[in-house]
Amino acid sequence: MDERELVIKLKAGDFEAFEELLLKYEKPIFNYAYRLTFKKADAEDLTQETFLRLYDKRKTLDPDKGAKNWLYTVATNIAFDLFRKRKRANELPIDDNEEFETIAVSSPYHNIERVKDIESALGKLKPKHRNALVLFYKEDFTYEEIGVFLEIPVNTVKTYIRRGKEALKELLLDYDTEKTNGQNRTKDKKHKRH
Amino acid sequence: MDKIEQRIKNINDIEFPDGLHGRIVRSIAMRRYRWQLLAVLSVVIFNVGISGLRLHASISESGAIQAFGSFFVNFDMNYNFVSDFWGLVADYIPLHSLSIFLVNFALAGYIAKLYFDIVKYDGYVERSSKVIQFD
Repeated sequence: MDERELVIKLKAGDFEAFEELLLKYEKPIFNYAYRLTFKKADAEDLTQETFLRLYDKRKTLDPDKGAKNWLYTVATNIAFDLFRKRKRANELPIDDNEEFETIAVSSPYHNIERVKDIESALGKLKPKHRNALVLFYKEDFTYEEIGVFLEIPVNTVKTYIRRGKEALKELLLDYDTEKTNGQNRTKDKKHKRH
Repeated sequence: MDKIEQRIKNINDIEFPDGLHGRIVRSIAMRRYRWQLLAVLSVVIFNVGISGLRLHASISESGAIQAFGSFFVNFDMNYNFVSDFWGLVADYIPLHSLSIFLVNFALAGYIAKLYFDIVKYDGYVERSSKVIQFD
């Protein structure tokens, strides 16, 4: 069954159609939520609320547009709502001291340190920049689609991505410098001992 | 250094939590039966009221309050006292009405909790459905 049919059935209140859409998108939405919040518990809540809202607002769905973009828009809105609440409560979205819940990396292309660096650096970006970068590079959405999710013009999306990348480069450079300095300090200590 | 685009692309997916799918399905199922739940809650609350009134009437008629009052004047914690106490309870309090009242009361509490969990979530959706400003 294609997505158009599923949305039509969901609009009519078919619970099986809802479950099919849930099975199709729960993992991508959960991962997207995690990339936005960097906390597993927040990502779980965000995913649950996104799908509850899909069911609640099913009558407003457009079968021709499908459910994917709608789900990402809603997940983004919920995440930003969470950030605003935390900002009001003076709680940062990302705790600098918090360990990232990074999973083990199996591919030889990766290296755990590098994955942690990029995640940590992404977590330090402004939410709007991080969001645009994740949507564009990780989730493969177009500028136009991201513009719709974030309710901003396409040029602003491009600006967010450019600024996000610049900030990310600087942060990664800082990490590399810190590591190099750390390694040099260790070497110096070893030399002094000898 | 790999290109930043490539490094973002290569961020691994995090493992999907075990119980999350079930949690979402259960929440939706509960929401589907919200109005039915409210109807059941009303009936059970009505039952609590009626069984409570009947229990109160039977206790008042049987003179249990006076009997318990005079019983506790000679309070002494021993086996005979406890056994007499339960005898008194069985004589004066209609256990059938009491159990109906307690079961209804517990059921009403449980259904009310389910219902208010749904209402609480509705309030959240209402508040967070407004358009988010990206400043």
